[in-house]
Amino acid sequence: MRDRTRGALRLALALSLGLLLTACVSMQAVNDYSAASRKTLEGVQTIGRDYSASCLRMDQYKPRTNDKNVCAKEKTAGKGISNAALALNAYVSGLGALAADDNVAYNSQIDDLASSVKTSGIMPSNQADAFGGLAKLLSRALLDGYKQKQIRLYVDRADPDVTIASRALADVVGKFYVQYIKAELETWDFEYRELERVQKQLKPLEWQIYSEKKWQERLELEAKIAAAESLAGNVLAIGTAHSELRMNAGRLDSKELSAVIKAYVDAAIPVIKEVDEAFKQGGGS
Amino acid sequence: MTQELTAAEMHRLAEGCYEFAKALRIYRDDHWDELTDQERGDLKRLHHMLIDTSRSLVTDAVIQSLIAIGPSVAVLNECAAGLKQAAENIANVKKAIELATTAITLVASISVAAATGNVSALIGTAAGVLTLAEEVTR
Repeated sequence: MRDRTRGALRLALALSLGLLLTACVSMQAVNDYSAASRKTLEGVQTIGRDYSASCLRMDQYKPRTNDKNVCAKEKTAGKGISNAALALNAYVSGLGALAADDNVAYNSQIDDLASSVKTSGIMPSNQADAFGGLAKLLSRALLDGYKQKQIRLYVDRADPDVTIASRALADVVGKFYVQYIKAELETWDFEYRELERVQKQLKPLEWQIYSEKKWQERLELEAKIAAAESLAGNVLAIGTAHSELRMNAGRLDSKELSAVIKAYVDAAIPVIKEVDEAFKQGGGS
Repeated sequence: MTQELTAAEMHRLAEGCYEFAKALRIYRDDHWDELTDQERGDLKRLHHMLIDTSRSLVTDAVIQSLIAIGPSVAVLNECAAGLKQAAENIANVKKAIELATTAITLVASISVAAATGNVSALIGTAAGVLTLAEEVTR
């Protein structure tokens, strides 16, 4: 009889542990999505800064004025781009922070708790150890459940707006900013040829030095256009990958979701490097 | 009847101005020796005006797009705040575990105080529990 009771208890314990363990879900896909999206959006913020910088660069081709409102509209547009990217960045960062695996910190706190129970004499030493082990398991299951619930809630709520914002920002980066810099490049071409006609013959040495500097500027502008065109694809993918998160919010550890997010991250990384290179020190202003 | 241009329409117009400016520059370069100074100057002014118009239209398109996504940005800000709160709630759980640890120490201190009459350790632990309890419930 006693053996049967022990067996039933063991079975109940095993089932309970099994249930607890199934609640422990890896949210690596959410973490990866968050990290890659944050990097992409930092690139968009850089483009926002370069938008007003481009207006100031164009000023070199115009007669000097004392207009204090020079580039005011462009500064508004540039700041607006950065702020919209910042809002999306704050959201994806929030998802990443919630999905982060911080059980290591909990485990050490629970160890402190178990040790406190042991020294208090409330329960025997072996029971206090068992209490600590169970507390770790319980806290992980409860926290994972809470995190999943919150992530599902916000991914569901934000999805239409992530799609709208990412589509609009993709257009801003890949079409509007690109067109804006193409026009800067066109002015470069016009002014360079004009100066070349006169200065190349008149001051050949000075022209050589000046020409090299100007061609470097031109290469930087071309790199910015190419990087922005690639970045637009990344920005658009923030929306499509988010919709995948939403569709899989009930099974964040599924292989299908991991594969989709891995493809998203793999496509994003080379573009992020291209943007970093195009807008590195000296090229971003 | 007036109708505002959409951001996409502004962008198309900007592209048109840009293409026109580019064609003018190429024409001016190709026919440089045939043109008078006056004609070169006129073409330069026209080129710069078209480029300025193109860039201004693009900037208007950017601003209009950003205004259009304003409500979505507001929702994203709200969601970001909600996620931050959820992360803070988790931090509070950590504090609650800490509180339980201190409370258990308090129980042990009470036993010691009852047995020995030394209440100083008990007061210290009790103060710690109160501080943590305040933080958790704040």
